[in-house]
Amino acid sequence: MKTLTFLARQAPFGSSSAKACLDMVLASAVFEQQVNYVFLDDGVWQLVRGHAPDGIGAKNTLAALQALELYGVDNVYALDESMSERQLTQAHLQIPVRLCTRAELGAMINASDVVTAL
Amino acid sequence: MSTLHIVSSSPFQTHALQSALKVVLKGDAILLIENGVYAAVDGPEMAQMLAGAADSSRVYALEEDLNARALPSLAKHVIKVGYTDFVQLVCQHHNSVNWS
Repeated sequence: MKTLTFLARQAPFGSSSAKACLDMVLASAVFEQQVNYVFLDDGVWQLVRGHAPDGIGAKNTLAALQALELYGVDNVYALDESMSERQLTQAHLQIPVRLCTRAELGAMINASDVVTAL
Repeated sequence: MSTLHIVSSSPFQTHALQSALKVVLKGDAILLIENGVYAAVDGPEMAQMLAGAADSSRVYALEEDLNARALPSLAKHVIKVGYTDFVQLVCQHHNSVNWS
């Protein structure tokens, strides 16, 4: 079993990065790998509760974040400074996450076999 | 003669908004669309960035994009508009500039 760390750095709409990252996380979980799913920079916007993308002709693909628990992805993190820069708190989020510091993220990346950032 | 400055990328990721603000004149308008609407979030950094502009020009944000992204709270000086207002804004201004 390998430790895979995924860094979600893009806003939820405007590109397919958010969805692609979530798909990779779920696929890795199916293959029973140790997964760290980390939201940072504009990626923390993906976690915000209440997305209503009908008006812009997009799909709410991130509703699937709820499935993470089901797939056994327990290590979901958000970078604390990315959250505070955007005036976000845990109360704004759709799923519970653990806040991590820049140093903790550095250590997590260092301890991973594979790191994918998108 | 006035200009509509359309900003479509996140202020946390690009300098599009800052570039637009450098050339905004009194009477111009700024319209935030797509990931540009993240500039409408109520917080000290963005408020500071847009405060000067809001004094001399209006700052709009596209409601559909705001709703899609579920922004927690909006800055006071931001005016919500819909797609039809978007068209009207383009028509009302002499020029439109897209900052992406």
